[in-house]
Amino acid sequence: MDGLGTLIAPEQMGTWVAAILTLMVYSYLLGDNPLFRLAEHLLVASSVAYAAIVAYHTVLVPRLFAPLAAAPAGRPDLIIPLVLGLLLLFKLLPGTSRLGTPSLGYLAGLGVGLAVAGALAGTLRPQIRATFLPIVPMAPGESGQTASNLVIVAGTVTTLLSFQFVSGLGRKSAVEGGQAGRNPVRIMGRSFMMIAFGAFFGGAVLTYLSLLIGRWDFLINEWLRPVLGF
Amino acid sequence: MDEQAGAMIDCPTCGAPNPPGSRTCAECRAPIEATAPPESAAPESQAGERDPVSRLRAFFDRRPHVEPVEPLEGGTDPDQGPEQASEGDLDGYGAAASEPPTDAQWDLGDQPDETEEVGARQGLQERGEPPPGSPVRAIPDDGDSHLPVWLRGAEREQEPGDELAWDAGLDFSDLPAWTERDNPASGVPAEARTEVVPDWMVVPALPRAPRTDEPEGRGLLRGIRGPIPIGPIIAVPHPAPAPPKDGRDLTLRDAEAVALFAQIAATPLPTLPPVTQAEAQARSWPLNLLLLLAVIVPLALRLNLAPAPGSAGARAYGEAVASVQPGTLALVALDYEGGLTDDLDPAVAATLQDLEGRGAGIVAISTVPQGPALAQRLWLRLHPDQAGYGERFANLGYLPGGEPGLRTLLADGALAARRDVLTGSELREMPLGQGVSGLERVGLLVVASGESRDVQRWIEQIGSQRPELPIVAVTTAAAEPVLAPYVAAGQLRGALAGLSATAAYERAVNPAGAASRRLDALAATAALVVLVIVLGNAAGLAERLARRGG
Repeated sequence: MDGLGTLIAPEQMGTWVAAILTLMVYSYLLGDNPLFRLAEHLLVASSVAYAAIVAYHTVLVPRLFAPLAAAPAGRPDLIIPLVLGLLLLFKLLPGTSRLGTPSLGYLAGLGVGLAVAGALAGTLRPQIRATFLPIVPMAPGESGQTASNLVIVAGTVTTLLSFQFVSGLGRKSAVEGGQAGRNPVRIMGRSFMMIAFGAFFGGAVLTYLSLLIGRWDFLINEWLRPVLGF
Repeated sequence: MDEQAGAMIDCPTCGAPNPPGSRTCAECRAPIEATAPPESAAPESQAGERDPVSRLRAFFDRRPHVEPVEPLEGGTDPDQGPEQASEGDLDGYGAAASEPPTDAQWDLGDQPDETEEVGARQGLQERGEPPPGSPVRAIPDDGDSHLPVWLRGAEREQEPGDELAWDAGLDFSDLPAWTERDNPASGVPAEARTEVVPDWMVVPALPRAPRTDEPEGRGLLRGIRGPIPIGPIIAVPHPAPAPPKDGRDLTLRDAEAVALFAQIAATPLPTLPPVTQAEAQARSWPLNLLLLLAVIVPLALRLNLAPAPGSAGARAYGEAVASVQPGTLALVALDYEGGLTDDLDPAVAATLQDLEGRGAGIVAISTVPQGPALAQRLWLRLHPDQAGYGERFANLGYLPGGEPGLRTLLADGALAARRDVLTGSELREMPLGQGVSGLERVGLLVVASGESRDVQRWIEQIGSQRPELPIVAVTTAAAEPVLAPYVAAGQLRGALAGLSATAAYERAVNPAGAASRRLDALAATAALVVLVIVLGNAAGLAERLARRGG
């Protein structure tokens, strides 16, 4: 270990470990191999173990076990979460999984309720209000903003109308004489959706490129450059 | 009852075939009494080949073996052969045969009460014995005794093609008129001969298969005659269905459907040549190598050729951060894991540096377990000696529970009661948290996450309840399209998305930051991607044009 410490400074140990693990993952380019699998298993295991330790030490101990241990009779409000948490453990066994259903139902019900309420108040209502835009210039010099508003309103309306569930247009197929393929509203709505999907795809590609550049920046500038001194 | 192994027995009542040995019919439950000698029981399938005499024999063979008690008109001795019968006898019998035989002709004379000894009598009859007390004499079974006199001895094997030979020398004058059509010597053309039999000789028939000459009158098979052959249906490729041949007019809809189906069926499926893994790798390694060079060379050379990008999102973000008043708190939520540190760490580090430079207190929190460690690491990079920890920076750790966990922050005193991960002290006990109770002293909420859903969660749970609290986001380029409506609606003051926006913001805070260093590589790789897309589409278009021209 002393020999290794003369080669690698202690503060550089983490960098070396990270660099070696990065190269082990990149070895997948040559095909599936034990090095890649070792790195993959280390990632999963360390993530799960770290999350379990953090949850235990920062949530369970200070909020449940420590108060109950200090004064069990003084905290009756903690008995319920303790019981619900223990019942949830029964979900691990197929024969006793039904005992954990109340805990799971409580979690799901509470989460869904808050999520729906938050979505209504935090997304649906503000977003609908934001689409109420003037599509006619209200003052000189607002032509550009008006055009932008017109595109936003047209895109929102035609996109919603292009879905089958709300659109009464073109329900019949082309063989039956319907106009589904030639409906201008549907064409415009789907065009807007295609543009949005293209933006999503472009953003995803940029994200992957950014991650690739970040890793090689680490390998070159934070690992090799200090070692090789270039 | 005679039995012949393998030979089905037809029911005398309904004609249904029954296995040999059956005493009652499986269809109509009538007793099966008659048995036919094997040589006289002509199968139905050979009806076209049987001569009329054989058919008559078969008919009489099905009847019970009962002899009339009284001699027939003319005093004919039943034991006499047909050559001994007088003409008058034959005439009388022949005339009588044109009418259904009456019960008197089958009369057995004084018989025991049928209701009492039916079963016994049937049993005796099956054995060929006359019932007790019956004047019927037991007739030795010589094969012809049950036949009418005029029919005895007339049995003859008909050889194929010998329709005219068998009847030479036979007198058909006394045959019933209904047999005349089937008589080859009658002069009636063969094609005009029909199997016309009297009604009393016709046994009830079972339900027959659908006639092939009846077109379907309704439904999808309207106009189709007969059973649809299965071969064309399951054959591959499936040919286009032919219109019905009965002259039914097709509707326009039907015609379009048929034409569309034929078009689809005639379109050949595109087939691609199989590509092995080695071939795929051989095709892709030049492009992969180019991409790697586009990343490595700019990073190694650090030429800083890419111009400073202009980003409206970065500008708005910077303005929101600049609006934080000194002495207020900035709640920074690091909701991302280690895999996204390369993308988000530069932006978060620049934000922390900017906030500290403006005199704001930084309170880190996270809804993912790895978040607190990342926050600690970023602070250590800014201040390796941990200077200012507790005074300018606090790490409140992991906030579990998702939406319910976020809602707990809204409670009065909830934020101040949270403990720091390093010191273990509550926020209210630290210099940074003096006078802090809830979110009222928080001047800015910074949410850093690679998933748009995490940012939305903060907006929905905290922003909807505290609309006066400014919220900004640090995220990846992939999540930017989802968060853009929130920026447009004013729910987000600004969003720093992607390496370009981060570099634009970072140059105002820390020009030597990591994002600025990576801009050259980003520009090179983006140019390579665009070039490959353009060249690929051009090559595909040229190939299609060449194929059309060829």
